[in-house]
Amino acid sequence: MNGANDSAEPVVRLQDVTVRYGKTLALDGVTLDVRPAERIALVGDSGCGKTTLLSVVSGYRTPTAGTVQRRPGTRTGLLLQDPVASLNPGWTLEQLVAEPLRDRTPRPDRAARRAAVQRALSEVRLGGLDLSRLPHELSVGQCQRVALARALVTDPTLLLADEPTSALDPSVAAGVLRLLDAVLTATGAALLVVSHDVLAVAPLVHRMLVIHGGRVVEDGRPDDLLARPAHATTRRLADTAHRLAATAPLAPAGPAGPAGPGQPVAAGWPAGGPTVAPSGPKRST
Amino acid sequence: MRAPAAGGAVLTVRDLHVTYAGGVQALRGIDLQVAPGETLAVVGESGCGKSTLATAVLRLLPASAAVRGSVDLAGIDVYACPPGAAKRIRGQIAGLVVQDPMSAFNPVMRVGEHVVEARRLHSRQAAGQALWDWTVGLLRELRIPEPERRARQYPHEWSGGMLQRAAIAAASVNRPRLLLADEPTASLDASLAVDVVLGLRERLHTQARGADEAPAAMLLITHQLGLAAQVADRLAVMYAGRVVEVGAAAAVIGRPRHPYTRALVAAMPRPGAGLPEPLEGELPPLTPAPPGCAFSARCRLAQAACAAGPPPPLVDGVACPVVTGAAA
Repeated sequence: MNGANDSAEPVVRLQDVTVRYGKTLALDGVTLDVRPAERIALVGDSGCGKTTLLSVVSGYRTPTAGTVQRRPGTRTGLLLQDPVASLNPGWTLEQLVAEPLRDRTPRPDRAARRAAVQRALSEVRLGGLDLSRLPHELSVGQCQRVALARALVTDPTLLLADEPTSALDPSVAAGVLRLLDAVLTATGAALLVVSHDVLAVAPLVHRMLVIHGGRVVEDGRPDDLLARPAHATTRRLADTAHRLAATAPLAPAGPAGPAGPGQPVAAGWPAGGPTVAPSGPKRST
Repeated sequence: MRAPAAGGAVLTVRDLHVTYAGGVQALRGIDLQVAPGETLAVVGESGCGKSTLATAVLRLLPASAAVRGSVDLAGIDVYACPPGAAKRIRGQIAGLVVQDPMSAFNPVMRVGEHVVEARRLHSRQAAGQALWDWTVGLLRELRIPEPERRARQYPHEWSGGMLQRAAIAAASVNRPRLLLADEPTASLDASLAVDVVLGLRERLHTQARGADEAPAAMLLITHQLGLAAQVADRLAVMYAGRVVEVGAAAAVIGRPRHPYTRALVAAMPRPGAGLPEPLEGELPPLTPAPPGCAFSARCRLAQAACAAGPPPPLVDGVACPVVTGAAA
């Protein structure tokens, strides 16, 4: 598995994209290349335009001005915020995961659909689950895995995720982030993830774009942005990230497993970022 | 209504059990106290019973739920008082902020009117320009931009984050002695979440009615451990309907003792630390709850005796005989 390839044709290229909602300027001249296997986080405050940017890339929204070019053959998968709300409660696991295949041409037959469903469920480690189960019979964490299987069933080259962990408990969210990392490494898909939780997505991505007022105000490696934020929005995001983490001491390297009373917890985390080596455009100056 | 005894807790929950009609044992013997001015955060994963606790404190459970134990709120026995008195508790003695601000607002009422109504219902203050101006000032305090214009808008014209701040305003207008906030920041950005909850806490502390009145307390229900650590004085960690660890927030996060608390802390993201450690497995079914320690099936420290007998009690703030050395 290689990292993002700077020389490869972008999976998607946005040039000077502007979106207006009535008098509101939601996106203001955004230019962005997403390279194959590149993982990019879009971060910023509520209303900054990050979800609008995702909806433009997905094709759901047409920009008011500017162009969006997708590399021929690009397939997108979409993962939404609320795993329970995003699943039709009356559909079985098989129906839910197979639904995105309806738009494939030629449309796969029943056996091919079932094989694709089982492959997608295996990728999210739900391979042993009964396909006739309904969403209410699953835990929240399993629902988010089913939502990810839906996104993966079309074998996407670009995965779009809108706040994929913000509705989840940290213990469940950590599992989803690790699963996303493993799936992206295995499939080589690119990732564009919207999040207001900078800490959660930082280890998953190569590159972080800070959006403010519909513009990309900072673009760089997550660790660099958190350590040396330049824009006021980035500074605030970094400050919050450090505040929210400051009360928990950094875990020392060591064997996993609970420490004795009075000892800092030893989580035994791997250091560094995503499994795929970071590459792609560097921080703008 | 009686005032709490001097130095007494605003909220005292004793041996509270709640079983839903389907047989789910959502709470299995909760003991908690919240002191005036204190913020107690209740943390734990979805399904651990923390929202049932908030609902039970306000006697808002469905009639079919079986409740055992007691809840004392500012000197009132919530389950022994007549229903009318329990209704007055809500809004006057205790305010509630729920998770989903969109469902908390009437879509055909202006946002400012919600805050005005919350104030009028309990204070008998007449609606008028003074009350409207006061509402606008309150929204300004909560960092709502252009509050004069925004107060006249309808809920669908507001973002979820702004609406949650208005919900906080409505819940705190009558200066409750206890504010119950059930995942109040789920729809807010992380930076705003900390500021809003800290601002809310400061409001509760500074709006006491007089020198002889204790500041208000907050029961914060959240799954965001980092937020809880920032704003709470104490943390109670819940698992499968029981409190498994309780103590000063900094101590519980910095030196977690119960294996479940350790797993939660290990799942917290930190800058430069890579992907956090997930907690494998699922909560056990609570129909009925398993014997012994409900966490034992997921616990790396579990011994054979952990899955038998009654659930372990809290000893020195932690419900794990293996950690406390009580397990022989």
